[in-house]
Amino acid sequence: MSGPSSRGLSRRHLLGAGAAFAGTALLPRSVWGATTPPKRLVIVFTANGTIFDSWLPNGTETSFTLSPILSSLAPFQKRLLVLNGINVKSAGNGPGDDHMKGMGHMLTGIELLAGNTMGGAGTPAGFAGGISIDQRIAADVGPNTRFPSLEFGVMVQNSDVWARMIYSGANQPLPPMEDPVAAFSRIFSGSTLSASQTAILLKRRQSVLDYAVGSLGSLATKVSADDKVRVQQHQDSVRAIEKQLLAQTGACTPPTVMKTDLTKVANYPAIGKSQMDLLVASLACDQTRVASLQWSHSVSDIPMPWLNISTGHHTLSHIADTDAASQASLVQINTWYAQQFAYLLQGLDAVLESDGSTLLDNCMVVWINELSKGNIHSHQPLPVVIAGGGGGALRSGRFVTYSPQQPHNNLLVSLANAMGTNINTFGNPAYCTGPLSNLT
Amino acid sequence: MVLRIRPWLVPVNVLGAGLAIAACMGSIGDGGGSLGNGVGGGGASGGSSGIGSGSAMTEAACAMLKVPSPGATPLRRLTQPEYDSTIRDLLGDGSNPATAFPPDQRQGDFSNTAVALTVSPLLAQGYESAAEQLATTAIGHLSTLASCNTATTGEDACATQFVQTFGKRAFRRPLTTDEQSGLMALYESNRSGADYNNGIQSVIEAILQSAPFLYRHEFGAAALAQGSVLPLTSYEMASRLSYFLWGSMPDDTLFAAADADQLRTAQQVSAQATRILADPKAHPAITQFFSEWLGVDEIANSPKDPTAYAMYTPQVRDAMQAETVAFADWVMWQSDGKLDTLLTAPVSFVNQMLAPIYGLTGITGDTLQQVSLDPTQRAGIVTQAALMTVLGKADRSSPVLRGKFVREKFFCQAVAPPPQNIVITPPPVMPGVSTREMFTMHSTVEPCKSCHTLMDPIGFGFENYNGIGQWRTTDQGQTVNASGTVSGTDVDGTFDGAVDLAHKLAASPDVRDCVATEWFRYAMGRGESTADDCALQSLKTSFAGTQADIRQLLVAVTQTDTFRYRLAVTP
Repeated sequence: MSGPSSRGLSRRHLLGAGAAFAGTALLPRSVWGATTPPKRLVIVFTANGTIFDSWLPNGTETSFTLSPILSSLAPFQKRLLVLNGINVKSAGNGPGDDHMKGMGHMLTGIELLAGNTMGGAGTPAGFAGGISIDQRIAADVGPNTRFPSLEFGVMVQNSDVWARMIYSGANQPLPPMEDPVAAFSRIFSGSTLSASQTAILLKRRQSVLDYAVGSLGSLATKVSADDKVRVQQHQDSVRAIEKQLLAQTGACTPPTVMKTDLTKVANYPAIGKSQMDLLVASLACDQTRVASLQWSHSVSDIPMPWLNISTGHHTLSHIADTDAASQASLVQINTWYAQQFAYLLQGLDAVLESDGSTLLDNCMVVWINELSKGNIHSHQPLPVVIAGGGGGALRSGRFVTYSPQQPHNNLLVSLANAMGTNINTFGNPAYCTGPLSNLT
Repeated sequence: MVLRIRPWLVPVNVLGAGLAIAACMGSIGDGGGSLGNGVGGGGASGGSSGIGSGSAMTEAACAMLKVPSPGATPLRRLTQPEYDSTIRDLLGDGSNPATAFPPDQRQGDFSNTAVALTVSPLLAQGYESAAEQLATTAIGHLSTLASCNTATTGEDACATQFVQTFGKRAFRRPLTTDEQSGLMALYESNRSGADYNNGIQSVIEAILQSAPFLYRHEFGAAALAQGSVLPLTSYEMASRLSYFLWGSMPDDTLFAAADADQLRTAQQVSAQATRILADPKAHPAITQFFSEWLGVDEIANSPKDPTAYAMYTPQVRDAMQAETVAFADWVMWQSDGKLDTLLTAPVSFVNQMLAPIYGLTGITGDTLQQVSLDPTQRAGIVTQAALMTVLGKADRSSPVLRGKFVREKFFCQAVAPPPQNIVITPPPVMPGVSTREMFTMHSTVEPCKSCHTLMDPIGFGFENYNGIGQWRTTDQGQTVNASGTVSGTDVDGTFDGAVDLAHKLAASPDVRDCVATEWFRYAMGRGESTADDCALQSLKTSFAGTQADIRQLLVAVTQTDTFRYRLAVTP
């Protein structure tokens, strides 16, 4: 199904009517239809590291053959950057086990907070210690669109530090949308209300949200400094949805989304496909310019019966290199994820922009992992693939090896720079020496 | 026998021989009363160091204290179950809208850890959608929420009345004049150009998204401050009691007690706690503790290999989870509420899906029914299928997880994790080699030995239960040896099998103290800090004095300094 929400009160219709009511002057106009398409960032996560021998391309920087795992990306080779030699240096420090650190440092470049989640190793940890790079970028480009960012997840299942990678600040994880139907409703669904009913509803919503913002602001002045951080984040969240109420949307065609049982492992591929369709449409309709797709969670133990793999991914990832059968299964799993990544790239490449380029040309799609090699829990070299042209910001079609290895914070700085966010350090500066060389 | 298995714990670096695991056990993350860096002080260990030590403050020292000593309590947001139950009690709406919210973020064992409960834009939008839906429904039966005849009383007067009465129940205290006028202004604005119902709807929607509804904010009774320590106001105490024991808002009786300012003395609080516990509404909040403490709420995260455990279907898994809840409920409300019963009663609850796991026949239907189990094979929660499943690997039992669990959850001891630089590659299940044999290497070879001797010898006692909790007398063709050893506790020594161990646990003051500590953490939504020492000390003493009666323990939690007082808020 892909129908309107059951309430018949949802946002999209309001947006059209709301423009007349609220006045377009309140907000920056969408640049939909402008001559230079905006740049977009997409983060894609898969878990448990990879099998490096089967992941690394063969050849030189500009003349290389994709590995078995990445072979399905061959149609996009000219728009790929495969990076070897990225090192999550921060993972040597701070609380948490290697999966927790890998996940929490991956996009933040800073140690986890102390806390009381006990991992399989290390000291107990809380959530990440700082903002993630996508959110830092969204702080700059987000105000142009209805949603500063959209987070999609596929059977993320958990809600702890192992399962969160996007952070609006320290101890402020942003959960992904896990149900495609709910995500569709949030982003695209229509309404059957009359114009006058719509005006009444819009006024009520706005005044109610104003009240909520005020009440949170009042509480924030009365609580301890630590509590205040949480209350202010809540207040920011309400402000964000208030803005969504007023912003305009461009004309676009939403995808069809099927209702699926979100708990059945067999539906993992179908849920993923729906989420990727929604992600592409959200960018195509300029509902957001920063998006992420999280497959399961770090330490994911999802089996893949459609590949005849009945043992969980994490369980397999712990078996010794000498076990050929488990190595083969891990190659199969990572190859399958690469095929899903290719599906996403195809979707992005099928969208034509106003200047004749494709959406993929204006995207940076970054595929990243919490680990390098599963059975030793290493954090270097991290398997990183960047697809898309980044609106001309990237020199793509290359296999770049960094020797000596470069801290992954540098990669995060470069992603920000490519998106137009002018920073020269990110995360804990102890692990950052500036932008990554030889990328843009 | 000769070790027939290859080494499977191999140091990656040359560190191996020199690797000193000095501290396999000890306290972790004691917050020392500070909530620095936005993260709750959360110790997971009862001891200040080493093994099984008690609180730092002695009873005598606590008795000398002139001023109550509560640890710092963070602002608490309604959890999803609390939101749904509050909506049910506030609006008579059982639609459970929080099930559509993104899941509450989790930190530590309990889902109510305050510092983890942040509000993302996705959750804020969930609140908004829920508020609109709930208000739309409520407007349809407004008279049941607040009876007021707009024709005779007048719309504005009815609105004023509504804001006062509904607002008080939603905020769990009377409104301030600012709140009252703010909500009336909202009503008027939305009444204008529309109708009365639209104005009231805006008030309901605003209240359901406001800070005083979503947070349990406490400032204490400033007039009664003793330095930086304040007693809670009666309204604040009403909420602490109802959310601790009901997971929901105060009822009319609690509101009446708060109106009369009769939740100030220990006796008043104790009488209300006893009354609250007698209400069936207490059952879900109490069993939630047991599910989360034992970790069986996350049983879905322990997938099983279908070739090893074909019987383990989603229906069986769900029945296992329900079994633990039903058993805890039975202990608390139908049996005697004693820790001993929880740990040792050879009783459980099964349906036709679960019965075969226990080797029971003749059970029909999907409804769980009470059964007696063989007391030589089963003892309370300790040997329950859900627990053995969570503490088992996909294709076998796990002496490590089981031993670690006993140390952490029953003795409140922290076991240090393995060093990060070793490859842990368990060999596949090998025909003819028992799990015990495979794991014996752990406790005989360094660097594994020094820590695994703390876990595996306890875990071996569970070898009569396979990875989904079925009783077995042979493993890989060998007779099961379920003898075990407990060390570093107050009940050290050997035992034979988990039933024997369960009785040892039931006799241990350390275990009793640990259970009291776990309840304290659940009640406060945080780990304990040193400032809570005397509160915990009094709780443990009280629990001991009742022969470990958990129902009385819950009342005793409400009598502690930490529950009755708070530190002054310094913005």
